[in-house]
Amino acid sequence: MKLDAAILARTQFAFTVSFHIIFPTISIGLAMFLAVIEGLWLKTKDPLYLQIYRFWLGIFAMAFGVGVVTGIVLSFEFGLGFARFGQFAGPAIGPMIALEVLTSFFLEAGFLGIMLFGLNRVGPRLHFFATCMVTLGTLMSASWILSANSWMQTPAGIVVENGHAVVTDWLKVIVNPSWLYRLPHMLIAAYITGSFLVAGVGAWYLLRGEHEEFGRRTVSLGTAFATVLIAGQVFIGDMLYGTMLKHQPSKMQAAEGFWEKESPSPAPYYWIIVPDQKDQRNRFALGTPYLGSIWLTHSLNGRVEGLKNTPPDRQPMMGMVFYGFRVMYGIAILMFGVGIASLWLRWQGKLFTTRWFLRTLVIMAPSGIFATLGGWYLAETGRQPWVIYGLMRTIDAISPVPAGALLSTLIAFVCVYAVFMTAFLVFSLRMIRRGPKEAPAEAEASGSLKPALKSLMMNAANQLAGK
Amino acid sequence: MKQKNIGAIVGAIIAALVGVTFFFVIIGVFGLPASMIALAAFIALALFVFRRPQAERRQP
Repeated sequence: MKLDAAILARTQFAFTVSFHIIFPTISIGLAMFLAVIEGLWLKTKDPLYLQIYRFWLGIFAMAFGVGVVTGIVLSFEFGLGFARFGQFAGPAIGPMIALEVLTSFFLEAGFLGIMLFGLNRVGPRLHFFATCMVTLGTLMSASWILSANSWMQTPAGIVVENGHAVVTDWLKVIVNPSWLYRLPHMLIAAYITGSFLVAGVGAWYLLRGEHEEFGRRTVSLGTAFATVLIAGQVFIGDMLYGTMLKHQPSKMQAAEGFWEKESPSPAPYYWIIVPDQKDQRNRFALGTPYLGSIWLTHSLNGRVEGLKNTPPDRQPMMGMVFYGFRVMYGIAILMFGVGIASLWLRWQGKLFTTRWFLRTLVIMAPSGIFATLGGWYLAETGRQPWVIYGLMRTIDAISPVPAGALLSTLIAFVCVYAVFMTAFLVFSLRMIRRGPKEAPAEAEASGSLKPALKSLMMNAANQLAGK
Repeated sequence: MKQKNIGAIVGAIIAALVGVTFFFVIIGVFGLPASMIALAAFIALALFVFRRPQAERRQP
């Protein structure tokens, strides 16, 4: 059997980046949650907030650690598996990725130590500042990465000279046409992921009758954040849809599952299709009549563009794009439904006592992760066959690396990452099963750095004095 | 008891219809201005409902 180096390089990158994105999504979402919770603790001095903070800090730290380790691998893969992409796009992409790394190190890693170990050593306000800086760091890292990725989706601000991208306008490179919509879309996705995780764990405690005060507060906070955020996400998602329709029509044509240049009128909204890329048709399609026209054209009988508007050699694979979109969108609809149900139960005062709803929250706990993965498959498979949309094909970006080397490293990645995932799940589930530790009635923090450093300074002074 | 159940079912159906309406408007079916107004209204409604007191235990 002859192995295809291009397919292996792409599979390897797809696997490692899919694994990686799970952890930044969790850590971005939990960082914001922790900042809000610590702020509430400082404001109210309610020890329950401190208990919630301490509990989720442990899981945040693990997600952060795995995210950093698996993120470093991706930079190497750019160079090793996609060197031609680096040669072409390095002048535009390189600085943005470098800035992402700098932001991570200076803000996230710099303040993470204080956040994890400093509560009893620095004052509560300084500790809160550290939490906010870590949160800001996650936000800025995401911003740079989204800028780089959005530039690959909607490149701007460059000219191509001698086979290299030469930047003519940095502002256009960074604030490219899709970045303004994709950044809030991704950040809200991460915050929703964090909210459903928090609510799901709280609901699990309530169902088991354990740590009930903790459970009630986290269910209340988690569902409140999720309800507001999912409404915002639906709004931003529609704006992003319009932007991508303008800049990457082939992606959205594939995402809706229509082949003909114009869909029938009224257009159905397909939920399941069996596409035949070779014959440019669907072997099977199941949808809701009228809904395609209503959702996609905002009219009762509008027509939707199909993939035959794009020449076959420039088409993405419809099945991957379509199902990536349906996974993301289907979960978003379920989340919106959960938000509405939570409002209805809150109105009746039954949010903590309705067992079917608590069970739903437990099931939905990891839903944000799957929705985010679906969204990224839509974004990345929909851009194909381009690595930089309209400028460089993916097949032209691959390094001349032997297929055997790519296969062996892919197997190694699968094995090592399986260990990472197992460790993350085992330790996280153990922490969740053990439950939150009782928080002290009052803040333990000493108030400032002075008392923490005083004993060290005294010891040093004594040593110098020869005592 | 039966009347209470019917009331709960009717309430749930109304809540579902309100939810579907909000979803369709926020997603832009009636245009961007309506979408923005619906989003603001939804958040205001949610913030209002968040203030309701909740039972800690199921009523016997």
